[in-house]
Amino acid sequence: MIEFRGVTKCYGTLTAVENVAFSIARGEYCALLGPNGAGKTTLVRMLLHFTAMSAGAITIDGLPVSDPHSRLAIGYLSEQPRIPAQLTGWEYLKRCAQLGGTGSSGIADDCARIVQVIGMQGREHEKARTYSKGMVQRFCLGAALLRDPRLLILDEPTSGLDPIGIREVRVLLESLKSRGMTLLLNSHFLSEVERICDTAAILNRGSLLVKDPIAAIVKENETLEDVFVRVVSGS
Amino acid sequence: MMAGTTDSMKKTCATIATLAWWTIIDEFRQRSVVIFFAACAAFMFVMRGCYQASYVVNGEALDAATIVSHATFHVVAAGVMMLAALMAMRIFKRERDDGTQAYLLSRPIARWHYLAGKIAGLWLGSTASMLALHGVLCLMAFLNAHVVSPGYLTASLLCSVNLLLVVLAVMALSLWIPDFLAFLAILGVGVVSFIGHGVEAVAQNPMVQSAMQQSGAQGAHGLPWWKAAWILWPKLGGLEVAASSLIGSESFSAGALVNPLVNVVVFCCVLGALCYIGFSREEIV
Repeated sequence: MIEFRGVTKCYGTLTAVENVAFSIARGEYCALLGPNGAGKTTLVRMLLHFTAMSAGAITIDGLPVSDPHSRLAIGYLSEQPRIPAQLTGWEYLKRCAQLGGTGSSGIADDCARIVQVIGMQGREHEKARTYSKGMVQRFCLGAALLRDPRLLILDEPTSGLDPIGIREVRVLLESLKSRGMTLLLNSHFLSEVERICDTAAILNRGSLLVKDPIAAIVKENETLEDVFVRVVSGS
Repeated sequence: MMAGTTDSMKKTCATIATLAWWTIIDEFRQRSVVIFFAACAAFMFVMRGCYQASYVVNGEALDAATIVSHATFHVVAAGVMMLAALMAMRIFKRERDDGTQAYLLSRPIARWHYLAGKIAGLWLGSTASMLALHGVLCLMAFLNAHVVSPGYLTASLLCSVNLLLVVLAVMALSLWIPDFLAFLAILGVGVVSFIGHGVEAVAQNPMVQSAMQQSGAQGAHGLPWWKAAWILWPKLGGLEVAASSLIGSESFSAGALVNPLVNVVVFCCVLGALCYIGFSREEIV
């Protein structure tokens, strides 16, 4: 599904990502882990062609990320979710659905379904400027889930949510697994990651340290947090 | 194969049209644009009495409708040019800050689709504003002075090419320099263009030419730098003045229109290419 081949990104003399190579199979739930400044968000931004690679290649379903068709069935939640202040949550969802590239039929029904999924019934026709951070997060997550994406890229999806919201997101992601969706999850909530994801790719200082099934790297009497600290401090 | 290409082109056009329509809606929701239209309404309210006045220059009575129509045409055209520059100067920064670029470009949309949608939206939005304002002025001229000026709206449409140049120039410059500097730079280019056109018109007067020949001003050989710069300068003023000759009883010369029109269109192509190159390198956050 996704293939990173020797991906490097330099900002002047600073190397943010260096020679990263791994792949994510269809239906795999992969966590992208690493300390602050490890290059996780840069890698996600290169995957979406938001920033150009200095070297290497990334493909989605065999298509290079420079081809807009590679984003045909992607749902993306940014690290800093934002909705233009002049739009309502409903307008935002409708716009995102219209540009999904899958035709215009059933957009209103799909948006109504998503409003239910994110628990925002009754608030969807209010202007975004009146929403709290958590509400914006929910609408942006809803936008990512529109039109049944095959690949979901979530950058810190639970950062602005309350404990109930965090639990709802986890349950939602677990339910999507049965539909064969692929997930790339960038998160610091390692306990959540451990419950949701199948594999983990750990980055530090721009380099990939490990990319393996979580079950294989977490030893007995260990948590993913222990593994993370061990791998990062040992690099 | 052919059907696939046609289908893909249709999708691209639909995407660009959708983005352009959203740009228009979003821009006309901005408070500054509403204030601009309120100022225009106030201006028109003030101008309505001018059609009844009498104008005398050197003891010769002038046609009030023609004078007021020309003056209002230029004021509205210049005002909308400023509005277009104001809208264009902040579009990239605002859409980067409010997350619009991220949500649009994470969809199957190429950067040039986004760019074309923004340019088309700003251009069509400002052109529609100018046509509406000129249309109201045309109606006022008819109601106050019973003058019908069919060339007014044609002239307005010709001036819309100036709006495209302003939009492209401000957008292209705002990718490299701060927004307000991009706005000021285009304001400067416009002012020089209008002043230069006035000077050029005066210099073509036979009396001025003979005076210049007597003083030896044209004695120098070769092309002076300021003349070369003027030839290459965007002819915003020239196009607007040439277009305004369609209004009223003035004789319209197509020849006078061709030079500034070609100049502005060439600048639009160059600035469009610069805009594309600049935005292709932009990092989306």
